[in-house]
Amino acid sequence: MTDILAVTDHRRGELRDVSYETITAGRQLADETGGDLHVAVVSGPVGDFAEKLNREGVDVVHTVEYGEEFNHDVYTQVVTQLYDELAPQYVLAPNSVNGLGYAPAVANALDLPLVTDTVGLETDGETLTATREMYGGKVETANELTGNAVVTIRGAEWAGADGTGDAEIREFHAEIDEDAIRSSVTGFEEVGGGDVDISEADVLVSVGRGIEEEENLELIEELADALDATVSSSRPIVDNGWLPKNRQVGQSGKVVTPDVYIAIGISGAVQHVAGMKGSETIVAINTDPNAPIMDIADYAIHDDLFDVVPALTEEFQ
Amino acid sequence: MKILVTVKEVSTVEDEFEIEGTTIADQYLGADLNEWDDYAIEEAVQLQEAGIADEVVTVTIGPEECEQTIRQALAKGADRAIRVWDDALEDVDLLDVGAKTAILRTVVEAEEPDLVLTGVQSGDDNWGGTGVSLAEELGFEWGAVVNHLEHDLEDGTASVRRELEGGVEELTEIELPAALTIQTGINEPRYASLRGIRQAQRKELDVHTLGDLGVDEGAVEGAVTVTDMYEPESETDATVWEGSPEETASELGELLREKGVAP
Amino acid sequence: MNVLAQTEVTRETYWGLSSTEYALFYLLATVTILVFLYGVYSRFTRYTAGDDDPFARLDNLASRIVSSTKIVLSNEKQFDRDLYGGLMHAFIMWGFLTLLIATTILFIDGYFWEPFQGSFWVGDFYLAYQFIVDAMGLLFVVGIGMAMYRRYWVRNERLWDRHTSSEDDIFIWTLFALGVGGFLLEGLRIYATGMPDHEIVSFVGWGLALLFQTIGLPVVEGTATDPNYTALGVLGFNAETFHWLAWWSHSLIAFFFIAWIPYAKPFHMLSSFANVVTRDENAGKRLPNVPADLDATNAESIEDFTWKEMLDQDACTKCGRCSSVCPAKASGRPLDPRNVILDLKKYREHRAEGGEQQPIIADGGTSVIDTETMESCMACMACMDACPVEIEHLQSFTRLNRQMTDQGDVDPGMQDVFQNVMQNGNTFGDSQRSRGEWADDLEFDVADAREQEVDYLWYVGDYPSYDDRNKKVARSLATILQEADVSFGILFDDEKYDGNDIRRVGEEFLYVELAGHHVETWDDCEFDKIVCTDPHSYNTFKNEYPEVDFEEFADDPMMPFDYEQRWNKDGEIDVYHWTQAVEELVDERRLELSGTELDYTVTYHDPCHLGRYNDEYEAPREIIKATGCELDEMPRNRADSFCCGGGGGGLWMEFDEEPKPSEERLREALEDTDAGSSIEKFVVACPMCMTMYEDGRKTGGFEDDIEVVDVAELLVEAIDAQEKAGLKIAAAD
Repeated sequence: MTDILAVTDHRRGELRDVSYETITAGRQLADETGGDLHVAVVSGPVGDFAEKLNREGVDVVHTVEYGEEFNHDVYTQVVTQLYDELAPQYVLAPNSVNGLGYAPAVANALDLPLVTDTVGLETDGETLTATREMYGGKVETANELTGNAVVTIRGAEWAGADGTGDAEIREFHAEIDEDAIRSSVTGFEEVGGGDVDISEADVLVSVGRGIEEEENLELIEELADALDATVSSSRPIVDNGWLPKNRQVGQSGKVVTPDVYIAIGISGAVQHVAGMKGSETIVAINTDPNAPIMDIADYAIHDDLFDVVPALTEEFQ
Repeated sequence: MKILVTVKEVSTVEDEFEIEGTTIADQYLGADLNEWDDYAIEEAVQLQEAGIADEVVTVTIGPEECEQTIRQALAKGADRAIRVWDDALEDVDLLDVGAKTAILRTVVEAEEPDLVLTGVQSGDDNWGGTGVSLAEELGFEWGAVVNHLEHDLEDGTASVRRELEGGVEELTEIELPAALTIQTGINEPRYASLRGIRQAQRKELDVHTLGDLGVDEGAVEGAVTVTDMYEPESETDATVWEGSPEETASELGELLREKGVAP
Repeated sequence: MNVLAQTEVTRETYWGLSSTEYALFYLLATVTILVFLYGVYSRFTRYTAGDDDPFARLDNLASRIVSSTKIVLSNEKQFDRDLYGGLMHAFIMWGFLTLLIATTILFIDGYFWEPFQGSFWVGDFYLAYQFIVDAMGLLFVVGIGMAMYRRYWVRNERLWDRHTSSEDDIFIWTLFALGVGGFLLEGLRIYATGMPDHEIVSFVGWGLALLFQTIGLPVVEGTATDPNYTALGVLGFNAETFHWLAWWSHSLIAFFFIAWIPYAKPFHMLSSFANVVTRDENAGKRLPNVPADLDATNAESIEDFTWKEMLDQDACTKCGRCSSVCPAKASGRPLDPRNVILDLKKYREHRAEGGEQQPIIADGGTSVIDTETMESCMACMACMDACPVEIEHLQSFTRLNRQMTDQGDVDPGMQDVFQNVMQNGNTFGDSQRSRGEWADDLEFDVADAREQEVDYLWYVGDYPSYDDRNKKVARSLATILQEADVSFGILFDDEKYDGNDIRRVGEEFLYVELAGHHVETWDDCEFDKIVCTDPHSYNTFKNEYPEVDFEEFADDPMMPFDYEQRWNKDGEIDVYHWTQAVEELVDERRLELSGTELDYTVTYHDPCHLGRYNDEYEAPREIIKATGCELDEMPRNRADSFCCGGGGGGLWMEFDEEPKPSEERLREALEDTDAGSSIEKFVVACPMCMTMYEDGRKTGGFEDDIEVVDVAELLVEAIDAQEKAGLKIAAAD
């Protein structure tokens, strides 16, 4: 009753980074409860996945062979059965789109409390204290519960687990009720693919809401030209149709890791930060010194982009 | 076909605010229709306009004060509304996913919709679990984070796209009855004019207590309690360049040259 | 040849016609008049079947007719911005009216005078008559020639659009045929009757007769003096036969024209005049109220349009003046004001003929008008100013905008603004608590008008309160008032958005809510005058708040105000734009100004809501001149000013436009003024203009060429009070 079950995420043959982060969070909780860390991987090439998931701190990896891709009906059944089998104290899942597709169902099926989108976790073995954000990150709250629970964790809040562990790899024979699978994935589509791959760029000049109007994008394009850099953006710019979808950095866009990321007029919503925090150097140009982007910026200019950008373009012409 | 849309009035917070205990002081709070629910309503109304849905009903859990906000959904075209409130709910400081599931379940069972639409999450506390939890409770099928719904539900399935991370969409077929959690961007929500909201006063808005619905008061005392609220520490350790635009631009220029990325 | 004495000269009007033909002529005349009357009757019954118009249109009818007659006869509207068009129309209209009067005189003489006491159409009167008719007839033909030259040769683009049709051709060619045919007829008559000397007064006809003489057209002997002569008796290649043919074709064309009048473009002779008579002097600047009745519809069907709005459609002559001055059209936004009016007309006629019903306004091309079209309108009133026949575009446009709001077809940017106003009371969605924070940098305190009596209750406005650039304008103005030793105060968080522009975008109930809040708040304050920074606020406070029927909303639980009277019904509270108030202060020498303080070369942009809406052109100019600046005018100034693009919600919406109105206007300042590129400052008197031009300056690349300043900023610099206004740090610059 002190064990932790961490469920991992993969797509199209690749484990997603958040899987390793879930392991880290799981290990941390297991240390606090004094239990074991069980990791589950469901569907796809589970054998290969299990090898990769055998990181430091993992006690058991449970593999469930069933189909290739994520299906929330399958995951719900498997995780529920694993819970019954292992009786862990906490079930951890990524707060990803897929995680949100089964974790609430699992919690409800098991009649467990659900805490989603946590950014910090702590337990004394009895009481779990989960840190969550509210109002778009303006405040954080401490949420307490006792007993078992299903918890989803926000990506990139925990470091990814590394090293190689000595986990036991165990096949779990779940009994899948085929009749209960009433949804099927028929395909995937890359949206707004195109000529430019922003994830390959060394320097990204990224623009957000602060640009105000579509016409003003010219300023950004001129700068990118002068710097020989690539233009990317935050979600609102793409939602407005000012730039194609393939330019979008963030959770629902691309994850980028350029040498230099220049965020211009971007406030730095968590969904955006998720896509660019891995950049080597982050420069933020924003009039608001309190904008969240400043928290992860290495260099900042608290000034009007309409003044700074042309000056910068000038600098390189 | 009948569609039930769950809607919620969310709190909005001004840029500058003060925290009192585990909540934000009242004077800094505003109220608004949850952005995600707005898209869910629009989707339902469009299905109705396309002749696919016969009736669109909204359900909310909230006190009387939220009616003005909830009427926006009626103004946009929902046929009637249900509001659940109870003295017992006044004292619950956090209505968690389990509690909402327990309440909404009874409403869905009474209404028997073919499709339940919810927002992916609410803009204030951001739980993002109610839709899926509710579907599981009811034995409905579900789909999370839907950003496209084919307006063709003829053969009892919904063809949807789910917005995954990294610019990938998943194409999924979902059997009805189902609950879909609706992502922003799925449509362009219409405006609820003040005239429309006033006209919506005439639409049916039923109020139910927990007792009416047969929900046990114990079921709504969530397992989670908020014990603290605080402003996150700013972790900035950025080097801030100051001076005229020319000066700051030249600092940045120097950095880029140092990094060897500037031409 | 001249057989009649000079004192008895006259002519035979039915010369050479048999009695059968005479009877036929009268039969045709009767039919023509019946067809005409029926057409006019149908048109007017259609109007009377229309909805009531919200405004009085027929009060003081006599004076309305007198002033309209003056407007129409002088052709003043046609001369506005277009001398050629003015002359053209004046020639045609004056010529036509003269010919009409001449025919009427003949009619009176022939049926009411001659049978009883002998014709008065003889002798000197006859000669004067002939001379004037020829002179004015010539003018008529010249005017038509000018019209044809412009339409077919120059192909003036104003005249060619999707509503241009064969009726335009038929109209002008018919007039041409009537004018030229009349002269031909006269020339043939003069020639065939032996060129009586006195007929030289009919100089055009005489000239043609000389031409016939030169080419030697055969004449039948004796027809001029034979009382029994009929042209039918001498048919052949001779002047008499040509005269007979000309006479009949002239008559038939005239009959056709008269009968056709009520059914096509010539109806404008009546409808446009009626439209001028029934005009509303406050149209556009004061929009109609809507009934509190929630079931009232705005533009759900064509039946929702009032009789005046239909008359507007029928008064349109497709001249295209409105579209040619429309800033939305000029910047490539999908609005053409003429086409909106004519699309509505066409649809109305289509419905009358049993055509299928369409939504009036919707998205996606299934409707009569597209929502994009109405979103494009800047409510600048240039179209109405340019319209020679007083079409009130804005009244119809507002109806369409209100329908869009009812339907929820609102641009996302505009939806945000509505939500912000609904929830916060201002368009920025910022806290009302911080509304007064712009004043923090002032070296003095601004009084709270809710707590102390003041002379000027200053309505600061949303942009000067919340927008950084415009806060400088607010601080400048505060300092000016302070320096002039005026007692003034503001409402702090009880000041909300004025509502002017959201009303124009169609959110009427939200507007009423805002108006109710303000009049209720003002009621509890002690002050003499309301002074506004923003011309938009000024317009709505001055022209619209007094006409809002708050009582109608008294029992409405959703209207949060408690106010049931008409506000400022008798006008006891003066509402000023700040330039008007400050001009008085400058005149009274309450500011230290010698008139030599500044030596910038500047140009001034008339804000629509101050200029065209409220006729205030001089106060801001006087202040600018009082600072010593040299003021150079742009070609489009005063009533011809070109909107910045921010009106009618334009400030909050995104458009695909090229060039942006603000960029085009800055270009005008730098290229089309006398000083040209030496214009240093582009002076505005409206916070919305400020925002649009600061933007246009950046996007259009004018940053190094010109600065945008408010009149208040010039003035505060001239009185050397920038420090006090918190605009510059001591010893800087």
